[in-house]
Amino acid sequence: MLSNSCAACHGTDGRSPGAIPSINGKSSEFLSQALHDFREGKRPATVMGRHATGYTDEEIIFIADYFSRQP
Amino acid sequence: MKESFDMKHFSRRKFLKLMAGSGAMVSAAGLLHSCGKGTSSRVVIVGGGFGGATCARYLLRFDNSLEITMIEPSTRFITCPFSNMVITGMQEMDSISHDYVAQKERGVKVVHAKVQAVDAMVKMVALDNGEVIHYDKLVLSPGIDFKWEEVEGMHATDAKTIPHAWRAGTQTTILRNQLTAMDDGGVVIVAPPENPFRCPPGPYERVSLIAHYLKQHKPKSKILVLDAKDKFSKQALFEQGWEALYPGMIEWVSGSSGGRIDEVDVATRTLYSESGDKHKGDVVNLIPPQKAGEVAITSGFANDDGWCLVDQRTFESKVHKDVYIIGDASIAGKMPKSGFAANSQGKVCAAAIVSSLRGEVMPEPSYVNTCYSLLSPDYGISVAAVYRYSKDKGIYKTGGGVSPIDADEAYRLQEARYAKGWYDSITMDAFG
Repeated sequence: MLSNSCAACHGTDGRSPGAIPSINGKSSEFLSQALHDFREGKRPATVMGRHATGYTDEEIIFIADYFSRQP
Repeated sequence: MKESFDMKHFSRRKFLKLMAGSGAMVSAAGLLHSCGKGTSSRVVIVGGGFGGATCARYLLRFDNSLEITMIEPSTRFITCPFSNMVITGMQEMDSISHDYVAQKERGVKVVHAKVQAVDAMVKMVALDNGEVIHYDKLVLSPGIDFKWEEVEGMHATDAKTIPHAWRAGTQTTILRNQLTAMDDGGVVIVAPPENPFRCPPGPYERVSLIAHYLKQHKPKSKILVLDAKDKFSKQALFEQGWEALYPGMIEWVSGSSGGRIDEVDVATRTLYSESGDKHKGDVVNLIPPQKAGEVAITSGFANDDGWCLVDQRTFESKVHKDVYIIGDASIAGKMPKSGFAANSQGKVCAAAIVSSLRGEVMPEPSYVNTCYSLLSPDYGISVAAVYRYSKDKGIYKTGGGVSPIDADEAYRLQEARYAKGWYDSITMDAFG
């Protein structure tokens, strides 16, 4: 349910057809760290700094795990 | 309750009359008896836009045994997102047109017809080609229609002269052609409606991109924005961008200071404001007040304001069970009416439907919206929000925000690039 939200910009299952980075198959550690850093303003961002504020630590784990498992 | 009860009976009478007229009564009854238990469930989706197309795709992802029929009159969907780039000659219509080949390939039955009536009691829809389709679950994603009755002096057919271009396609071309034909030094009037309406930042992106076109091709021209509202989406960012990119070219008049339109004289392209001012345009783009798409209104699913009340957790109609309404037509708490919101709602609704069919509790919904606006091809701004549901608040915002006001050129350029990436991704997610 949570990861479906990401798909609209990052592509279905995280495979982006265009200018927005794909997130499929990246390690869950990397994705989780990126989302935390976006949320805390530690990673340069445009829209992701704002999106990340909408998710809890636990939700970030689920999202990161889901996309790490997408081929 | 009484009102909706009467409404159902009214639409049922109308439905039976229609059926008798089209000679489909027998096959309708036959369908009723042949629908045994234990087969894969039938979901009918009315409308093949961002909401309907996404819902179809995600329903199959959640349960590929479903029998899904999508009813959509057009053989290709032309998106409102990026139609302002077509209006201003920077993209072609084909680049914003999407067919239903991928949907058909994954097993969605796509019927190019128009729904004439919905019978939510017997759970069937009647089409204008005489066909009757039975459903277990019905999804309405009909988009918007216009409240022409609220525009004094103008009828739907006058949109050939004063285009709204708020449903993409022929209207997009009309506005494009009028802008192309206009002389340098002309006045373009854009008149956005009162809330709620489809795509809150859309009129202001349009103003920006028209200014971009005029600056290059007709630099002596002006744009007058006669707004029904006193404030608008991403206003500070738009006004900052207008000042930087198109100084002196755009005048925005708020509703309470004379922007609200009272009457239209179509022949002379003149708008009369509530305060008595008269504004004549060389090109006039009046965007009328809006309501839910026709089928939602005629089937009795809308309230007095013209929008559909739904359970914001599942998008099931408050008027009738097993009917779900998503996208612009629904009242979805804090979510705006946007293609992106419709995409998000299509997924939540798909999850709700599959859960209901399995007799399970649906997972906790999470919703999202992201809208980019281009102020020029190299200057983008955005608004993003994440939403959750609670019984008390309905759909409420848990995070998000707009682009920073103090961002530099590189940031605006990056957002313009992401705007294009956004389009490629969401159209692939919905139609690909």
